[in-house]
Amino acid sequence: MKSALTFIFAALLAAAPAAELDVPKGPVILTISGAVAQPNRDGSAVFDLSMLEGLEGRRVTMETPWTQGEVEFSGPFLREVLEAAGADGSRLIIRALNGYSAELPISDARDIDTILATRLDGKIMTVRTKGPSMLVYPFDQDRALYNEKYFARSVWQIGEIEVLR
Amino acid sequence: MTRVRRTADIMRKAGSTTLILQILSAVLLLVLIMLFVDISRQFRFLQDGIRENAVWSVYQLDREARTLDDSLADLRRQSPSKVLIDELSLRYDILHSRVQVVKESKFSSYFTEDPKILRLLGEIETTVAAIQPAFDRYAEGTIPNAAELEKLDLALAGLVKLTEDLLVQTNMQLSAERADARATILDLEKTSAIMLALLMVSVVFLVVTLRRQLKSVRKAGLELEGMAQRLTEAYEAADAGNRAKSQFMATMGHEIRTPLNAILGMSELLEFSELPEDALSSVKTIRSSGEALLEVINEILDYSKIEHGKLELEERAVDIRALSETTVSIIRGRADDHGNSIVLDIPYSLDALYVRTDPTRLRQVLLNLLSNAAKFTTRGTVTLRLREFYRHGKLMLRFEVEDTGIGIDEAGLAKLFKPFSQVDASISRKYGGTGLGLTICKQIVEKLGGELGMSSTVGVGSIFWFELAVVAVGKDEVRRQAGGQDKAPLPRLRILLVEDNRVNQLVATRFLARLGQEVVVARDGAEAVSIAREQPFDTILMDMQMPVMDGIEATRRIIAEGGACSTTPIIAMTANASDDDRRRCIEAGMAGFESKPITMERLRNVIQSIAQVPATGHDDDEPDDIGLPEPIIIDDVDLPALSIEGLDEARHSELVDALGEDVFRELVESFFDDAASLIKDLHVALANHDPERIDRVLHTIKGAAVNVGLNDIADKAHALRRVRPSPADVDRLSDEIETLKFKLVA
Repeated sequence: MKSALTFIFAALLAAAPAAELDVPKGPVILTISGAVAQPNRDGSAVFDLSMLEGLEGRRVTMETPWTQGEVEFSGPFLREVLEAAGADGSRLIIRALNGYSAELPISDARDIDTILATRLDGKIMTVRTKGPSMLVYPFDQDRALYNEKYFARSVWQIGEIEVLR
Repeated sequence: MTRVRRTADIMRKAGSTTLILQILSAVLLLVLIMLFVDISRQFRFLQDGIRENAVWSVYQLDREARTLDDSLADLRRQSPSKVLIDELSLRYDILHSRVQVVKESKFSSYFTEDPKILRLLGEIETTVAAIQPAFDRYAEGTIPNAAELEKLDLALAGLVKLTEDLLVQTNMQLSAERADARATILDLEKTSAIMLALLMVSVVFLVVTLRRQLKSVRKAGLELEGMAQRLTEAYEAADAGNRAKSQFMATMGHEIRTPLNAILGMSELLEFSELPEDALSSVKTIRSSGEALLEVINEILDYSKIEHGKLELEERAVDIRALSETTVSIIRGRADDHGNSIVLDIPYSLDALYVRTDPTRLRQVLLNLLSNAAKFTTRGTVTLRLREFYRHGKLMLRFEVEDTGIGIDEAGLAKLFKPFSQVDASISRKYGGTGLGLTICKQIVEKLGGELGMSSTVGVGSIFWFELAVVAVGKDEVRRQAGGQDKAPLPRLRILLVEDNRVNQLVATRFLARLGQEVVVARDGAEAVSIAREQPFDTILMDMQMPVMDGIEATRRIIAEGGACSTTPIIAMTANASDDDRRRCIEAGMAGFESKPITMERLRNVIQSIAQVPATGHDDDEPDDIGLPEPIIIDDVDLPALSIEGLDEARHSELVDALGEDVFRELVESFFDDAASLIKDLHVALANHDPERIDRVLHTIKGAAVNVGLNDIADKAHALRRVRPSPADVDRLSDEIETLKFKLVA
């Protein structure tokens, strides 16, 4: 009974993304703070792995400067994640667990198929393998992105995304 | 000549410079392509050179090693708690990932190929891997003891030393790499600079050469222009000389012909008078020599006309048989002199019996060929043979003049059609002639669109032939054109011509002379009366409107005075043939009247009727019994198309036919001279309000204009007679006359 209700609730959520964000059941791997319209914990939107993997995303095979040979990344589109959090801003600051951070315009999420990769070659990314999530630009779609400017924005071991107005 | 060569040199040099320029351009293009290839190669190299920053990664690795060391120190200072152990685990995980990053990232060769770096990296990896089991246990919740932590601290101290060494080493290698890169860029820059310099040199050379080439081309252009100018001047000078020569020939021909005609005329008259036998033979010699001279002059004039392309052809319907017969009959006399018989061989039936061509010129050619044949044949036969045939569907006429004369050899044939050449010098001594005849014939036949040729055998004879493409026409057309030209010869009458207008005088005199009449001219009525008193005439042609005394008055006086001409038929010539005029003429005692303009045909009719009716006394009772034909009044009936606006072509050709182009020209000129003074008279008459005089002057203008075929002017003048003309009307008429004068005379 309860699961059926949850199912209906989830279906409603999927139909209306502006609806309230779920509460994470597993360990939180991503916190979106700042200008978010649908916080689910202390004014921030927090996600566990299953929440992220429930969002629309893509699976892509490509080469990066940090990996050997062709590898497969998969995960939700950044824009979907921001949408789910009700993010409303113009810039993002992405912070890594080791204190590294990069600032980027929100158009990097809206206009191109940037994903928050959670899996590398099908395996869940751990901190040891640049997890729990990594921002992957679509180098396969647009070769012009393949330069140091976007390399610096390709943050891994992401802990938090702050949305700036 | 040297100038021409120099110009050619300049052009040639310009050509070789162009070749050099072309080669240069090709080289330049090659250099440019090379430069581009090099630049794009360098660019591709840069593109490939997109690498992860090794120093940054190594720095991160070093930093994470120290952070882990710090976390471990924190843990050892405090009692181990879950939070601190988790923190320691996370730090290890991050360090682990950093090792992987440094190991797996694409770095430049300075990093991946340096053995010292590789060694340090290997050691770091080994160290991190060695401590991994301990951290894996902590992550699963095992609380580490102090001894373990101390051992870990020791290992981490070694790791930090290694990462620091790696960082220093990497930075050093990077500096070296940077210096190398700078050197490469410097090299590229140097190459570019050299190429740029080459390019600039090429461009400068190009510009300089182009300038030089332009200069030489301009110079050549100027030379050519100058040359063209000089050529034009030379051509103009030559042309002017040529024209002067033609003018001279025409003038001289004319000047010679006039006295020669007088000599011929006088000698002919002398022949008729009673002379002693030897004097008569001298006179005959004078006449025949004169005729020969006239022939020579005509030939030279013809030749000069042909030479200057001024030979003008007319086109009329011609009866070929009649033309051949008359031509043969002309030559018969000369043939008889040499004891030759003449045969005219024309098929009984000819398609081309009546054709459209120039009869005068055709007759000229036939006459020339026939007279040549007769000249060079003695006691033989001269045959004029006519044949028609079709070539390419076109009707052709072939004329052959065959003789049984001396013939011409091969060498002679070559010279035959050259101007002023005869077969050999002895010919000209023996037979005379200019040697122009055949040349003229050939030119005329060619101008008529035909072909002239000959074949000959020495001692047997020659055949001269020509073929013309002709267009057959109906018999009626020939009749209409020919008019009464071939009627019976007219008797020679003595005629008094009373006419005040000079042009009309000239035309009438010429026509009458052509008809073989003897003419005395009186300029007005009074003069006519005094001449008629003294001399007898067969007829008097009387103009109606004249100054001093008009035609009616003069007629009355001549009859009344009972002088030599009191019974001579007087014929009125008038441009206005109204019933009223007719009545006045008859009342005055005239025998009839002819409307103006006077034509050959009308004059012939008049002379014929006068000759048939012997001059009897005038009888006032039966003035209409005189056997004159009813005057035919042709008023603007069926005027043929005008080739020059305002000029009646039929009248023009009649006058030219009777008098020749030169005389016609004179006529037209004198008409315009007269017209100028007549217009002046008209203005005076207008100023004096003298309607009678105005009418008379307009009448004179009309008469004179019609006479030379200027129908438009005649019509205008006649129209003005009906209204009272204003000075503006007269000016308009004057303008019209001036315009025509410009067209016809200038």
